[in-house]
Amino acid sequence: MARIVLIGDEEVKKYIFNLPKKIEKSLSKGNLIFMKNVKKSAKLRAPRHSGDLADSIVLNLSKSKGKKKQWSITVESPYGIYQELGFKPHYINAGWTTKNSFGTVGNAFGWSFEVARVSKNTPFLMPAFDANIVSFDRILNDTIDKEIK
Amino acid sequence: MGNRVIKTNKEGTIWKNFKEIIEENVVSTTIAGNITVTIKSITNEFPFTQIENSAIYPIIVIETPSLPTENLTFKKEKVNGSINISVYTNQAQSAEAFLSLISDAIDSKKHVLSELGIKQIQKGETTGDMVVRGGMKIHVKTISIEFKCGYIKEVGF
Repeated sequence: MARIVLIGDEEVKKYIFNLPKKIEKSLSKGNLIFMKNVKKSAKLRAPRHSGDLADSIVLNLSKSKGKKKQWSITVESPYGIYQELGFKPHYINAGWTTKNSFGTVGNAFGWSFEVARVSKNTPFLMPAFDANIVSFDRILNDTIDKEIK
Repeated sequence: MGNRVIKTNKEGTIWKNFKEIIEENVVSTTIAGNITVTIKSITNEFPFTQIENSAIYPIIVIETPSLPTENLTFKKEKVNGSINISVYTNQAQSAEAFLSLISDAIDSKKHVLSELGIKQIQKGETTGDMVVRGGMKIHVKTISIEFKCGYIKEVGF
């Protein structure tokens, strides 16, 4: 009677059993790397005068379940949304408060006039996402590859 | 050279060791047109408020190492860590060249880092970005370095 002994069978079973967990962990790690890159790119692209908008771009852990983590980028500055999505052209007064160290809009931009028309916004979040999404598959590929080796 | 990684200040000592290696080995590069580009500074955070000031480039940013706390248990004396090193320049060519110098410097000093407790160094993915700010192009190249960090084991009781 022939007897077949599979050496390493237990290791294979263990490996296969742990594979989904490992993949989940590596996907989560890849997501974090991608989100960090997007945050960094958004900070580079954010229009700045005081630096408050760039400083207010933060990466938060929004949901966590086991090894699975979800990350979100939050722009805490109230005017971030207007820079990103745009606004209707309007007039602003140089005396209006900026609620930061500059004091007034006039001081912040060095205006010598009373009223100015603002019409142009500078999106920073979507361009950052667009610049990084091309490398997302490579990041995931690398992290999964390292984890399952 | 360098400081041995200790448990109480892992991040600080790891950062300082990487900084010393880069400071010594990544100084300048020559790009097309026989132009020599010299690193202006090495910091742990990019000075975003001076982003449009061309005088600050090229600059190397060594981020604070990330040492996942989930792996820190009482018995373990090693943790998996990673550190991102970025170079910000005005020329795409010098960004590539500096990244290559950084990569070579880490490769050639692996044994030094290993003696200090930073072992099994592996280069991770490299990423690039380019933005136009204040009428100039800013090229960013980042390399991620992964390692196992060994620190002095705490005695159980």
